[in-house]
Amino acid sequence: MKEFLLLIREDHSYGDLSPEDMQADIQKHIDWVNKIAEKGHFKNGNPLDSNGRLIKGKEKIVTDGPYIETKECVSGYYFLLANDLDEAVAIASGCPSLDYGAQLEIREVILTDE
Amino acid sequence: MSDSHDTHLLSDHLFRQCAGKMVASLMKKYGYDHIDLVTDAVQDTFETALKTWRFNMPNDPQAWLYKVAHNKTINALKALQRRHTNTKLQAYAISEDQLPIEDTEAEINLLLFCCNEELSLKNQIIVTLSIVGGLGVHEIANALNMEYEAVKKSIYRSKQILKNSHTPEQNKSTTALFPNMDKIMQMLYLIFNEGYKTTRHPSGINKDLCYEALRLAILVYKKCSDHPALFGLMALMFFDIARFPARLADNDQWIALEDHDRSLYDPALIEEGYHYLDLAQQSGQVSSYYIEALISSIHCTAANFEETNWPQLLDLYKVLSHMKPDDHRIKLNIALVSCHINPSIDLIDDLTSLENQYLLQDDYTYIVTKAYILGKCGIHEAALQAYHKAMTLTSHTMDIALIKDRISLLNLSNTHNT
Repeated sequence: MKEFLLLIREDHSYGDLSPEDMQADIQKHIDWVNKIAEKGHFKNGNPLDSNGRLIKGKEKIVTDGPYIETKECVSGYYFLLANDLDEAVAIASGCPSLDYGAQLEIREVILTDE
Repeated sequence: MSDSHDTHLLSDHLFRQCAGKMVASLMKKYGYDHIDLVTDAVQDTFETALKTWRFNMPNDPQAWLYKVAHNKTINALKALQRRHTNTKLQAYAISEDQLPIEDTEAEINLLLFCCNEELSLKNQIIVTLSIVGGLGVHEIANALNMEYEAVKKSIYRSKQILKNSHTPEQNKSTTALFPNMDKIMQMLYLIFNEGYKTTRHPSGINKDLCYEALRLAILVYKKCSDHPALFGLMALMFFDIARFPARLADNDQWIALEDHDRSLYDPALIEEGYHYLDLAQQSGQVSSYYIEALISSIHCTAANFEETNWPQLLDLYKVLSHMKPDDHRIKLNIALVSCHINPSIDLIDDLTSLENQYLLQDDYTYIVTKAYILGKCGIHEAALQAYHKAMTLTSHTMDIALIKDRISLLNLSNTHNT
């Protein structure tokens, strides 16, 4: 099994979701993760804070960002386990965030010691 | 970060239930004038949960919610203190001690806070469902058949009124529950009826509202366990909820009382109902809730429709009508029950005078009940006419399906008779 990084980019605005709606949303993600974990495709995952800093070049200029232009940001990542990129894409396609307009990026992790 | 994956389960309605409880505890701790700050902090807590739990669930979701909501409230209060150095919030020490998970007193105080007579009864219901019940705007709009924006405005305005009419003294002491019981019970009864009523919800019954009303009634009971009318109200709720499984078919259509599969009535809930009915009985005081509970208990325990004790129901409806002489729905039920005992033409005269007195010519429930009674009395032509009229008075697909069923039954018995 190879390891893949799944980055989720999305716009964090939820409008007027009720507590019940929000729980239902989370439940969809839990169900998805449980499903892929059962099949051994899930390694771990973590959310990322939307506040970040961008440090650039020799001058080491620090700016807020990197998402000045857009409301979209990387909200979190998962490490998935799959045999190849195609399989990883198939797994990631089940991610409920896609239903809310998120964009997913999938990259194979190169394990240098193996 | 954990590398292993544990299977997590969120208990049903955890967020909704925590919403009301957290607001209650936070307002008790930091003052009822901070209603906006606290409700915002709680909403923000759920959004943070939504953003983060998808990637990694906390081990104890409920503890996480309480801790984060408390922290967000503290941060908002500190920001407020920095802006206004001499606000009255000095009276409330900010302490990072854990919030208690169960605080019945806090929930009741919040309920009393929402039952403010400066608000119309409808606005009290809306703001209670929102703040105490943790329901969202669209859920309330759905439940009460209102426009989304109207509910939003109502909540906003009610919060302002509640905030302004609340005295600092009330912040510190628990408002007495007993003197306010009548209005609390009335509100819970209305919330329950909204859920039980036929026409407002796509699925016919809004169980959520009924269960929320029952939950709040039990909450009040914990604090005030010697109020006879409350026993009656609770018995009524249990008996009615016990019959839910038999009221709707798998295809989401109404099942008429005649056709209820009575084995689907929930015996455990009926037993609960009797427990509170007995308590009410022992008190020796008769409330309208108690009479309604007795009526519901008769339906719960009749072996089938035919064996329903109609004479006893008739007596009870008459007692109820005596207690609430202006309620035409009770009079309508008297006519309905009477037609099961003796379907006579006199009933039609009673209905006509009821119709004229209360201007019920375009009242869906009245017309559809009248059609049923006419049918029972064998006046089929007028019954059909009334059913067709009833169809123009409802847009609910379940109601229309039920009427069509009744019409075809009438036509069927017509063919048999001729």
